[in-house]
Amino acid sequence: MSLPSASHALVLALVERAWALEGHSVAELSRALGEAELPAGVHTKGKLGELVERALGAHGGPGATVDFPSLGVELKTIPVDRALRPRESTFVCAFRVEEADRAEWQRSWVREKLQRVLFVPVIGARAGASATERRFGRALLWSPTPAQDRALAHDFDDIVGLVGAGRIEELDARLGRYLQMRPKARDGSARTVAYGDDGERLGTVPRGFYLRASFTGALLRDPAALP
Amino acid sequence: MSPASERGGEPRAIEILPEALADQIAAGEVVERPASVIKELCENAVDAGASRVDVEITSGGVLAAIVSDDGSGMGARDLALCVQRHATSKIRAIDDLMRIGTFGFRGEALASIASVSRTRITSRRRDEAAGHTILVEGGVPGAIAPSGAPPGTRVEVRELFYNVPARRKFLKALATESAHVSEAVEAVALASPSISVTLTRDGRKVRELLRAPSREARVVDLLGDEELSHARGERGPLRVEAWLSKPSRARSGAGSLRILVNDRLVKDRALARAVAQAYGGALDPGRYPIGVVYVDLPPELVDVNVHPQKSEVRFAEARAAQDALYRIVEASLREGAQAAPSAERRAPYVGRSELGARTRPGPNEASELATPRPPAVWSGSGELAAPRSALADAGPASAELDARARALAEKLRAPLSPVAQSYPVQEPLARVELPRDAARSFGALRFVAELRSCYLVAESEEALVLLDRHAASERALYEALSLAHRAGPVPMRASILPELVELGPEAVARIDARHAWLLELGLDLRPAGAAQIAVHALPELVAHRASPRAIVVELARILGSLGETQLEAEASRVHAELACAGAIAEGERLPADEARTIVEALSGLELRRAGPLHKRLVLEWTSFRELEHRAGRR
Repeated sequence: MSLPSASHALVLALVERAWALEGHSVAELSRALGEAELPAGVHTKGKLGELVERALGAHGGPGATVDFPSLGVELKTIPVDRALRPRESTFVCAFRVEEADRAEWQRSWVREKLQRVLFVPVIGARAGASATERRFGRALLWSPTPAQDRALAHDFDDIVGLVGAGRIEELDARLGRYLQMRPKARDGSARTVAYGDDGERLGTVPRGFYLRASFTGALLRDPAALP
Repeated sequence: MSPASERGGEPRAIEILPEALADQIAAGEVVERPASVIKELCENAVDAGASRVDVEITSGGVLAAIVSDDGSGMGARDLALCVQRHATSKIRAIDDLMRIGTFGFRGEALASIASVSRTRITSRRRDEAAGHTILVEGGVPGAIAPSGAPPGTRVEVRELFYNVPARRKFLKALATESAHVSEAVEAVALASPSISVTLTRDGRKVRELLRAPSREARVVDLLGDEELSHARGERGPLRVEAWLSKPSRARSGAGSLRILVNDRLVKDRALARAVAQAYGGALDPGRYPIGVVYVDLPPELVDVNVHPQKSEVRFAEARAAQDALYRIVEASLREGAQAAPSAERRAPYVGRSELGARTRPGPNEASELATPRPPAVWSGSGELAAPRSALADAGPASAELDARARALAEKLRAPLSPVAQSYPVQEPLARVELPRDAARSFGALRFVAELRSCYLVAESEEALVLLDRHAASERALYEALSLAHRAGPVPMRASILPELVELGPEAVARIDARHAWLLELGLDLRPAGAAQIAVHALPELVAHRASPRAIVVELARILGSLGETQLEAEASRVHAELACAGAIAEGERLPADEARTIVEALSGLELRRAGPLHKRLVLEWTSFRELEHRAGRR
């Protein structure tokens, strides 16, 4: 991704702003943003993400662009336990399975999204923790090291290659060391088109790329980790 | 019949096609993609009695597809003949065709492959002391040369379709081509369990199947995660052995059901349907089990010479073959079901998206994570916690919360850095342009002092300026590199022992393609093999500090994001990277005269608070007028 040089300073400023969240609770952030009451649904990751986006001034959409387009920074709120272990894998982006046979890592949307990620950990003791209990940890700005990029490329090739070769039905969440592909849809009835090994059309659930929790957890401890 | 004429044009005389062109056309039938190359080469290796076959591909097999075996090898004469069409050791007369016991026989595979690539074949017979090698480019064979080699044959097929760009266009993404190669290698492994097979992709070993004592062992090696039931039987001359998954693991399409007829992987819908039908009502129409089916019958009862890639076969009695297969599988499944009605069923794999409602995670998935995955992730509907009222969240300690919230709001609004100082905070950060007035020239600068190996103090006619040492050094280098580039060849320092940097083959190719341009920038980088760059020289200005590795890796990244036309404009990005790599690091000792040079180099420049890449350059400045004012002198 090309970054105008001036953006680097802005990226640093963004990181500093994210660091300001450290130690504050979700409720405090909500109040700081002028909300009289917690927005409905702030318990969920999506709403929480929106709150953080507002605090940091993100305005990219969920699909079409990264959260800070001019800085090339993608924002990821990541729920963790007290030991900074992520509680779940991190959604990166949706993938158009019907285009798998033309998809290359170097030009892929998932790679673009992962070029520069600002992880904002949210520490919640348990799944049902209230907004006052859930606190922000120290944000981390991460870009893949060349070795990480290679490892992610291998995962991408394994996964997308299988889909491109018409074997989407063999795909499962265990494939991929760091990156995995899983269903990503509003509900189980959503369908998209994929192609079988003879080019026949198959109905299948829409898929998306996720970073494994073991990988993001390791990143939070060491940005160059290859667990 | 008249000779073909171009529509509306003069009739053309009929001519015999030149041999090379005929080969290329024929190649279209045999060589469709890298996977077909691998298939043909592996089958040759098996036919040569190999006990080990190593497959290596680069960039989906398009840049390189290499198959090495430890088979019988070829002498010089055979080597010369093997790249010619219809050269084969496998049949002698038409009657032999009816009793094919080998994979290949048409004698066209190598010639076809060699006609559309740069192919090098190195081979040594077991009974000979040395081997021979031949290079065939676009079907034109070179001379045979003696060559050191282990017994066996190594075929390197590089730049597939380099001379047939039209075919290259039909290739899919490299990942897809890689996956097809994996399939081809798996087919060879299934057909020949007693052979060790490895697959290395872009330098990474992705499959290693050690020689297996039986078909069953090989199938388990390949489909080890699958719970399989075994079917076996004979009907007349036809023998069937199959390992098949439970109906609950069935998939749409027959892609995961591999059928081998006389150890040849075939695509035969009728046979696949026969297997599916044997499951009775347990499978919905269009769904097939995962598994492997071996069908063995005397060679004279099946014609494999139907398709150039031999992926289709014709049975002397197709109906009988399908019927036999159906009956054998059906009987075995029925017996199996009776024998172990309550066999414990393993948890289904998660994320295997079978159609229907089974898209939720199963128990296995949850165990991968510290805590069970909430369904919210799958449905996207957000069910992490039961709804609670906002007021309950605000809690009793509302006053304290308010205080902390105010503090946070203050922090979020506060100037975050000198760069951000003039941001209107309510505006989203990213929309704000860098303040124009942040850049200024201080005129001539003079070095005063160095502080804590981190900062430089400088003075101009009017002001006292505090600079970040690394950023200053970076900026000075950047300016010097730009100037040197504009002025002519950038002085370079050559390395006596070039450092080797490992990169992806694509990155190596990109750097290689821009060798001349990079030379202008003071970088002499040359490929050393497919996946390494040798750093022969760096710009004199940065050579003593910069890590060649860091520079090359960063450069590969920059080049990867550039179009051909952007080069000119992007020289500055390369300069910036070089400057960053060559700048003095924090804590490093800086000789006073170098510090002086750095500060003076910044004289007269518009100094933004940011350096070309990052780091704040001007940390503080105060005019002498201001100082005098504070000191009460004015």
